[in-house]
Amino acid sequence: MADESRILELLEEALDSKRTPEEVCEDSPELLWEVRERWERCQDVEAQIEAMFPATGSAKNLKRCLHLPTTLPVIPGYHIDTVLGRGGMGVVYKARHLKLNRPVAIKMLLCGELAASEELTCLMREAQAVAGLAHANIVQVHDVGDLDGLPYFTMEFLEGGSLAQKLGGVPQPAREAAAMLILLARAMHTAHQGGVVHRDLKPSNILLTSDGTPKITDFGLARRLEGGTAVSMKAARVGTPSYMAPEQAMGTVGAFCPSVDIYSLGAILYEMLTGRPPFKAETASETQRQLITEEPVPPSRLNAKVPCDLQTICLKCLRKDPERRYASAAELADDLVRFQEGLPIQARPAGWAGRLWRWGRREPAAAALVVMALATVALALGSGFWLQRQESKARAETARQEGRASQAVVALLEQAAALEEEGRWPEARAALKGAPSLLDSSAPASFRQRLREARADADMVTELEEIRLRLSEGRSAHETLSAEQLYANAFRSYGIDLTVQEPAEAAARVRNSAIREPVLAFLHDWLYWAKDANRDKLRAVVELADDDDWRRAVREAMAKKDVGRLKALASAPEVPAQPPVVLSGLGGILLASNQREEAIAFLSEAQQRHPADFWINYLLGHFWDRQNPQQAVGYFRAAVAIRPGSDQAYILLGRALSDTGDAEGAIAAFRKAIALNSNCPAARDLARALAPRHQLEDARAVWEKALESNPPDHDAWYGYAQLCLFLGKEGPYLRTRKAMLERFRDSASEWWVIAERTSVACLLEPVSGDELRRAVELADQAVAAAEKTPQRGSPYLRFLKGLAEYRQGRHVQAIPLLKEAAEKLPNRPGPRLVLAMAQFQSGSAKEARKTLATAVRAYNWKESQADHPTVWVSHVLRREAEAMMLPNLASFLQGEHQPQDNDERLALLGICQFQGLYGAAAKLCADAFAADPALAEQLTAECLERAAREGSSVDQLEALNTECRYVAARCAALAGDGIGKDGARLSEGERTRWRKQAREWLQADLAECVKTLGSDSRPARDLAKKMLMLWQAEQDLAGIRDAAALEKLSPVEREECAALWNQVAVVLSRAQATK
Amino acid sequence: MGEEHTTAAVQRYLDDLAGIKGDSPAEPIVRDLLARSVNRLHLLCATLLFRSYPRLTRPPLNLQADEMLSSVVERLLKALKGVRPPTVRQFFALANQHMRWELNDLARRLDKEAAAVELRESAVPAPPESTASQISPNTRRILEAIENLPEEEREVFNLVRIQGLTQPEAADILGVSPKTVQRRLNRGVMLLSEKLGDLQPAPPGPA
Repeated sequence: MADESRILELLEEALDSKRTPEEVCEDSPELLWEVRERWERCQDVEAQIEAMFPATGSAKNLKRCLHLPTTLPVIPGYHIDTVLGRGGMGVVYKARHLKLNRPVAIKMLLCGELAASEELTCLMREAQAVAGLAHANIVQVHDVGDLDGLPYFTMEFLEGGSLAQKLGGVPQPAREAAAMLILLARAMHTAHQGGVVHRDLKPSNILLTSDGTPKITDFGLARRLEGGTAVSMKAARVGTPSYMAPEQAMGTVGAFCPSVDIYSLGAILYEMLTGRPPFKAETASETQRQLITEEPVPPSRLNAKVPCDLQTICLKCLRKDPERRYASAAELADDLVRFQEGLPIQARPAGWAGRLWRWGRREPAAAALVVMALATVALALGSGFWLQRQESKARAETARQEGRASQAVVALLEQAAALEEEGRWPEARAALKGAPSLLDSSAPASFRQRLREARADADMVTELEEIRLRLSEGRSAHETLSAEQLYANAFRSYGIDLTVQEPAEAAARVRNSAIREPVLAFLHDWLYWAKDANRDKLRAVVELADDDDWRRAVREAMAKKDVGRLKALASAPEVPAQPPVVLSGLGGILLASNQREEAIAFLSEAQQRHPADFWINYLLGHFWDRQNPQQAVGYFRAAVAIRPGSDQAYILLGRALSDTGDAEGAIAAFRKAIALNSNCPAARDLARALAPRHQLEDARAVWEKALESNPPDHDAWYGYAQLCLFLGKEGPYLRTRKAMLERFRDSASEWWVIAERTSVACLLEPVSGDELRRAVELADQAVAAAEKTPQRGSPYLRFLKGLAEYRQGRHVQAIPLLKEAAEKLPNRPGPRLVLAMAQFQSGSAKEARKTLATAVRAYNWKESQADHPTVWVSHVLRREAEAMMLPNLASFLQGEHQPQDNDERLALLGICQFQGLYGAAAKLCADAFAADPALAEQLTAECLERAAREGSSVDQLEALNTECRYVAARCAALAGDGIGKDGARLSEGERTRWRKQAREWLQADLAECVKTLGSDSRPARDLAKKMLMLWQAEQDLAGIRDAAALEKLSPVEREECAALWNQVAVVLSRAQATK
Repeated sequence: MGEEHTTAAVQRYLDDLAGIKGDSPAEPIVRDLLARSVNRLHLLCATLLFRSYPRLTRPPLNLQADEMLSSVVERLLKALKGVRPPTVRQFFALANQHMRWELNDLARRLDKEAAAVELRESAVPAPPESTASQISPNTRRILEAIENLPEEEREVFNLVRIQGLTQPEAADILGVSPKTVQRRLNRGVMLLSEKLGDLQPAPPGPA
């Protein structure tokens, strides 16, 4: 029975989390009855056991109710009708006052004999205090009494149910919410003035009369402000997390101040405005974590109708820092009245300081530290309580401090160990780091030593994992430190140094380590990457430190490079017994050795055994992300669920999502990655995802914010300066240029590419003075550094050098460099554009115009394609060249100038495409082809030749994509479909003409393809095939291809289109058949 | 030994026990452990007496905890001294078993006494708090139900309820997390509540 297991689950949850059946059954109300009955039975049994076998040192027993009566009690003067509800402390009955004949509610505290008598007295006194509060919006207490030692109050009975029932998750109109809050705040102000803090305000404690007037009830947790009675700290934490103030959740001193009620009032207002409380997670502890570490989502994001001022008021109540809330409930009420009357409110939205402060809070690591520190404080405060009563004050104080500290250390170590067991090292590390004060605490030295060691261990594994991450990304390939050096450094810091230690000594360190398993696993990684010189020594260490036979065999196979043996070992019966960290290590090694099939089988099996292991999921995602992004998404989702702090996993998830076409999901994942770590390349990915939506400015804003933290890695910066210029943001560009010249001035010694990219970005527009000098210097350093590498002749370096010369006004020196770069980078317009400018400046205007035309004509300049730094560079340089060399540009764009020759026509193609002037672009092409009938054929041949020279298939496709006649056909098809700036202005006749033109151009290209497909050259045939496949998917051609678009055309034209695509399909299938 | 340090103490025992080699005397450690268990047994016996059989502590029997218990404790000591358990966990397992037996035995004897008292008093109206006769079988039933719990739950139950360890201490000894201890305890309560569904509510304690 499915219900039975669910009931047991809920029951267990209630027992584990110490919540009531009502709370845990919130989402399964149909099971409440059954769960509550069993829960009561459990409570009974537990009370029995507690009575006979009292647990030691647990203050909770003092408050545990001895029993819950199963029959209705008899209270003189009242007739009790029914049970209205039960809570942690008692039960509420509906009853009738016999003499006055009016309905009342009776709340009886069910703390039995075990309850400390002073606690009862205290509660009764507080009940009396509430009874003394006379306010129309506070449920009136009529009478206080006790029945056989069980204290009770009688209160007015309200028929309208609770606010929680009324809300039911539906946002209320803002004015109504404000009006109700005014009543509640005024009532609470009265209570506060009477010295009573409620501490458990929530919608279910707001009862409604039949006409909807709210009344606050259940001061069960209430405490007098000046009360001198000792109340256990646990009491400070009682309450419902969703509405609880953070200081209350932490159990700090402030937990008894009126500001906790102001917070709760804000939480109630929040729920009234948005339909949900500010924080509500699946579990109470998660809610509590959010409450302490996260900022609430502004109400207007959840309900756009929330007025700005009311949101400000609400968020002011919800500030984490009690001092920043309203000073009193009356002030809150007054501000709400101001809002109602349309007057300026006093609350201010959070300023920059506030935002910065919160931003700091959002730092996940920092947040974890905060949580841990608080949890530790809470824990420390909660333990050792009983001593207070038993020992003399002074002794108790010392002992308690020591006990608290020890308990806190033990709890922390336990928590960390539990996390580590699940492979959750970053969390374990954050937890251990979270309580720096424990190291200086009064805990015994041995405890503190253990804590210190645990920290060092967690640091070590985190560092090793970081290395593994870098290697899996291939990131270290270009870094000065090889994989081997990275490992050597990490292990040296952990006391394992092959250069000075004998293997036995190093092995002893491994054996004695508390993290022996992960250390061994990473030693295997190291072994894989180690060069011959160190490999033997390292292996000797591992052999001495590791007794496992299977791993020994793996090492042997690795040493002999015996792939067959390695494969056999991957499916050996010993595998299941290996810890996941070892499995993922071997999986990674198999992947790195290109044993993909074995790796995947091995990892998939490991994943089934350890579905919650980060590394196994991460590696599987990595494996699939090219071939089957959908599958990769699944694994990466698992990886981010296991390790929500891994920005790297989020980036890869985003990329995989993007490959599956889920742009929304990808964007969300990239945003998350940036939020987690500003020192990551996610901003570039975000820009790439947002470019097709013309939302690059959004991406830039996010990026700008991320760079405010001045991240150390170039990867986090690369492209931002280019994007700024592309978007015309001169100011941010100049600031970034300055920052980059400073930050990466020595980058050439790290990796020449960083220096190269930085200097290109800094030379992207004319620059002078010191900045020019520094950028040129950096460029020279990049070139010099690359000299020592196999990439020394790289055309990118020629381009950089040429650009640097050009920016220094040394045009003659620039020209040969740029020519060489242009020749070798046929798909990149950049070098040609700068070459054109250099030629122009050195007086060869005619040559320059030709170069410009060549640079522009074979490129896709559409704005939506501008999704990458190199593309942004191209656009920026194109604009500079256009401004320099096309004097009639402005009048052409206004339709007042007709280009004079083909060089001018082709040079204008770029801006037309970028601005969406597809009709104009198509016309330029048509005119150019008409003026020179051989041009189209010549360009197609040129393009195919270019494509054939490209190494990777991506570059080949890019080359094919920019074939001039194909570009022309796409522009014509877009214009014919009425798309773009000028498309809408075209008459139906003109559109029909452009569609026809598009088909003719495609037809001409198709004929070329057919010719190529008949040739002997296999690569040429493949290219032709790829090109045709490209057509079938090209979005720009939808207007003359897709069924929906064809619907709108005349039958004759429809047929013509269909014929073209049929032909394409036939040619393709024939080509594929003859492979 | 100060109970606030029990985690540390247990840890120390663990370490010390691990250090015991060959015939070196384990006496001081075992004595410490015994003292601890004996104290606890003492407390449990007293609780049993005062909670479940309050009337036996009043006239005419005037049963006093100490004299009642010394014999029980004596026997536990004797049973445990001969055996030197190799690990703390095994020590507790053994101690638990004996303590449950002793408690059971005590409860049986007290039941007899209670029955006798009731018999004697049957002639006069019983005072309103007279609940002993309804309650007396509970202790034994609970002990029996605990005995029948699955291994994991029983061990945790014994450590926390019989030995009076705190949950983190129990966790330490079992090598699991305190959360697991708590979960096992709760699961134990769930199982017990199924077994003991018809248990009488606990009586009020002594005034």
